[in-house]
Amino acid sequence: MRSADSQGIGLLEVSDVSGQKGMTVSGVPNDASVGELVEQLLAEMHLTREDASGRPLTYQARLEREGRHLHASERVGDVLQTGDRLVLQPNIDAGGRP
Amino acid sequence: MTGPRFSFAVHVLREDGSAAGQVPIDVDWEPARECLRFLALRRGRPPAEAFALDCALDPVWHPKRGAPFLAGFRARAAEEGDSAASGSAGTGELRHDFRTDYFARASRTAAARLVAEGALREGEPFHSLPVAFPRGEEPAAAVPAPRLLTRPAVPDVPIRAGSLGARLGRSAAHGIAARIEDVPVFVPRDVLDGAAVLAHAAERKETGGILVGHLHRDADTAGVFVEVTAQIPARHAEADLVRLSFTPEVWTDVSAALALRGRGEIMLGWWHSHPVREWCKDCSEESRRQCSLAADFFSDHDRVLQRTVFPRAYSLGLVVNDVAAEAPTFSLFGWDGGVLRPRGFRVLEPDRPGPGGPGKTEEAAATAGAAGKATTGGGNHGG
Repeated sequence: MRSADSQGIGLLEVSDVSGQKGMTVSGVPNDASVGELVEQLLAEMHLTREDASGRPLTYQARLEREGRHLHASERVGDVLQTGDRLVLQPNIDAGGRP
Repeated sequence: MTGPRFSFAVHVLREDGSAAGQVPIDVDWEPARECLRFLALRRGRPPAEAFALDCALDPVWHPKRGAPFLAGFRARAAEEGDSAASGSAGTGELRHDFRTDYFARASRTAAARLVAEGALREGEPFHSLPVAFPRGEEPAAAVPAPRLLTRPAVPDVPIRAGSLGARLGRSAAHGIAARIEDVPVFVPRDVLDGAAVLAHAAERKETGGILVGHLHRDADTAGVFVEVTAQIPARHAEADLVRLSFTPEVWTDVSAALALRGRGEIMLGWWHSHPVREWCKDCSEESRRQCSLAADFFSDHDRVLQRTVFPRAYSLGLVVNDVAAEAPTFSLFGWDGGVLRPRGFRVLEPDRPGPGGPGKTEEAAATAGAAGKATTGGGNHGG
């Protein structure tokens, strides 16, 4: 994540899709991208990063206030507000014969 | 054991006992932590406390080979003074011992790497021995990257009062025999029937959905049990014969459905179908009878999905085996000692109205209603 902006987002609530794992986050710099934020959150929440074939799993951040998925290139300072709630949603495959 | 205290590797031996190599591994400790947290819940701690439990992990050395060879490891509630570098064994009463099968996936990955390096032949039998080494202090990064300030939130995992005895009285065991340490799991027959209908209708595609319900604590024994109340079809999943993709739209849709239901249910797990009759349509009848895909099969992709979305130790993964020439069968998978394994469950029959009128209790009435609502709507499924 890039250098901190002192006017960053105050506090975010972040959860997984089940709502059973979550955390509060502060100190998110305004100039960070949503993609950078998501990358750090995955590590902090111990969420899986790779699929069964070793390929990176893709996650989307859903902003509850606006009811939409944020694009990875959007800038935190442009789209997030203190108190926002994000849900990290994976695009993940099941199935597959051995 | 985590953090800077130990690093891990797998020592791979050929069938004749000769060493093929030693491969460093990254171990996913989260299932072990979740196992201990659920143990805390089962022993009476409230959810907010149990699921926020900080865990310490200690090596258990092999009794004959000794260090660095592992017989397993122990997870325990972290105590005051525990630090990643302390090396304290601790004596906390809340603890769980894990066997070396916890490292099975890492061992397979290590063996595959040795095959790629030519140290092991493709298909050659091997044994693996997990090992751990104390790790020295590592130099701090010269320019530490700015980090987020994070704090775990209190998880939204309600636990309801309920009667285990009442449910045992109107349910029957299904599948693998339950062990005394298994948390009881109840799945309504309507939920199974609904999933089977969707699986059959999907024909040449996999389909699936999300299992929702409640965690309960029995009023008499204080034991915890799990009750599925409904399945929500994954309407926006993308599917083919051997794949089912749970897209972000699936999760949004399911969350909206849960909110609309308004019953305080949580996502307990997921289900998906295996169209075995299509997979095996060119096989002989004898092959079909012995096919390992026909029952209790959970692919690597299924395991990663379970770990990614449903890592809690009470989480479930149901497979509907749409087999040829027979009614679909069901296999349930759950976490057991940090490892996913097939497990038994109990099929819950509808609560029959007593002499006093429909529904014996408010709770039972709500549960039966949820199951009925989930399966009569049917028809919406992935693919």
